[in-house]
Amino acid sequence: MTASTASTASAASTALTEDPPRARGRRGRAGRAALTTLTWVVAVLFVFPLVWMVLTSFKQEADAYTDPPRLFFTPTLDQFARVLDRGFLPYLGNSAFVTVLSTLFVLLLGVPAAYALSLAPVRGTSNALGFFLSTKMLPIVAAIIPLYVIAQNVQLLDNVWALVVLYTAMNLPLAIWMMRSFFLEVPKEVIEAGQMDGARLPTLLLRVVLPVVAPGIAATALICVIFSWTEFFYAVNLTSARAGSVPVFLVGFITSEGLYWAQLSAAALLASLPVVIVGWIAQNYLVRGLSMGAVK
Amino acid sequence: MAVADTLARRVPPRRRPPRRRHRLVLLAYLAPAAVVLIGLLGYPLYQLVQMSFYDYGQEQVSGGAPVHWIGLDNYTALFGDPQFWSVLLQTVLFAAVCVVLTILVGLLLAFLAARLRPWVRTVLFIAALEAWAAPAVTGSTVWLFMFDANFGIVNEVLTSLGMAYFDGHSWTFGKLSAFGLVAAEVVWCSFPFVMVTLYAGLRGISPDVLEAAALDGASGRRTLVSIVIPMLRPALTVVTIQSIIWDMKVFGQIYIMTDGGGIAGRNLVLNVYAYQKAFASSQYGAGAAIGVVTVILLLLVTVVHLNITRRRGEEL
Repeated sequence: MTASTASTASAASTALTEDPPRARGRRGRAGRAALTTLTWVVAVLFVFPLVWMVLTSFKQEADAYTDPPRLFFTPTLDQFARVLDRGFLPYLGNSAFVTVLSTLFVLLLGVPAAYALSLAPVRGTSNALGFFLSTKMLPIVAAIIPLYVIAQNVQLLDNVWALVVLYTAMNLPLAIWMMRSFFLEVPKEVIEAGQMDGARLPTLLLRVVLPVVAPGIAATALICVIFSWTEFFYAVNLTSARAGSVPVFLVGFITSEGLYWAQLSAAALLASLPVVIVGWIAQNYLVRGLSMGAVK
Repeated sequence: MAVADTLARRVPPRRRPPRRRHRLVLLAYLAPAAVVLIGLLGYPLYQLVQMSFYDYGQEQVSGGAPVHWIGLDNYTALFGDPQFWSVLLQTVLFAAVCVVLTILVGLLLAFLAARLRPWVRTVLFIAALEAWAAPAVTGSTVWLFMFDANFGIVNEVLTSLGMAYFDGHSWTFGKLSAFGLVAAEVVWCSFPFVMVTLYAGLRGISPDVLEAAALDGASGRRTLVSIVIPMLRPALTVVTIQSIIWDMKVFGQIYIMTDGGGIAGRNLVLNVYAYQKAFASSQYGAGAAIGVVTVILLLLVTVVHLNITRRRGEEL
């Protein structure tokens, strides 16, 4: 995070809460304090469930089930070991495979489409974008019946490829929408200069435009990764033991053994860990990428 | 053709690229994505609409029994069912509350993130990522655990603060408190996307603009209303429309946290209702009709929202 961009944002938020000298008053100050307090309360409330989950995952099952709940206990890694013992890794592998491939496909299909939309005339673009967006409105719960029948007919039930294909379609509309906004931010002069040199559209895309929008594309990819990683409805209905992803493992966990809070917390933590690590590494990229187009 | 037009303005016409070929290339770029979406989302949608006009039950799904075209019967039955209308109302209200809260929380935390020291911001971001990356299955279960009547930390804290009423209080029993609990979880797992996007939007605002506003003596609120929010609007449009689409289609959280739609189905929303109709009572045609209603509703809301933003002078 560079100093200048960070100060930009903090200037923006200072504008929210700090009045210039002559507009200051007791009410303004009280209101500002109230807003700051509210913000912190919200932040703590939203972080707390995670803290509790992490704490619980290091407990023995007996410690998780005390009344009153215990804040101090002897931490243990038993729950993590149990989760791994129950065959968590193959599901993790499936999830990784599905997430990586579907994200690659989204980029392969979405980058040219977003590029074309950023160059096309406005009216047509709105219609095309509207079409792409509207495909997101299909309620998957209702669509699962036809999808199940199709998957059965092409023998893709309990096959990781079924999820790869569906997640590609699921993430494509938002990805196109976001990436188009990044393409729109590419300075006209850059494209014009390329065209003057006689570059064709594909060359222009690969050599001139893509390097400029790379952070935006990385941010989009990370968002697709997160959505693929957490999707569970398709996964639960179309896959089971062989091709199941992490959420399928978690559902099985909850339904088969009743509720073991500590073990479930450990499983939940393990399940989200890869994404958190990737996200942490890509954090600056994500923010820089997203702020490029200011998500138009 | 934005590029062609700008070129036409600046260079002599003969340098303009052949328009027809240009357009064909653009179409070729759009086609793969469009084909995939039509095939994978358009086709099921078509089947869904078709199914909603048939009497489609268990015999038809598994036994291959002949299907009967019953026209609008599924819809008339649906519209004549008082439960449908209450579920519809619940869905819209629930989604509205979730969308508004998600945007508010995301906006507040985005402003907070912008003011934090880098390492505190990193902590906030990791927490947000964790909430975002936790599948709805576990998120819902963790929230249920925290609000558990006997072993939950929430009742414990409230009781120890002197509110004896909450000792053993069930949060999932009352209709409103069950909805509230689910809404809290939905907001919890959807605010990160909003926060990160809006934070990025905030960083896109030039400090010069804000400085100029401050020099002109604009108050904090005035700057917020006239500068910050308008400049965030494109980002706000994206997150609002996304949130509307997600929250109108909530399934997992309701299904898990209220055990399939609450006592006597009083916590149903359209998506869970469709699932129950189709799979629990094997009325696939009726379930499909509910699905179609959801799609139409979402289309309406999105079109209205986009028209409002467009009237403010922005394109999609």
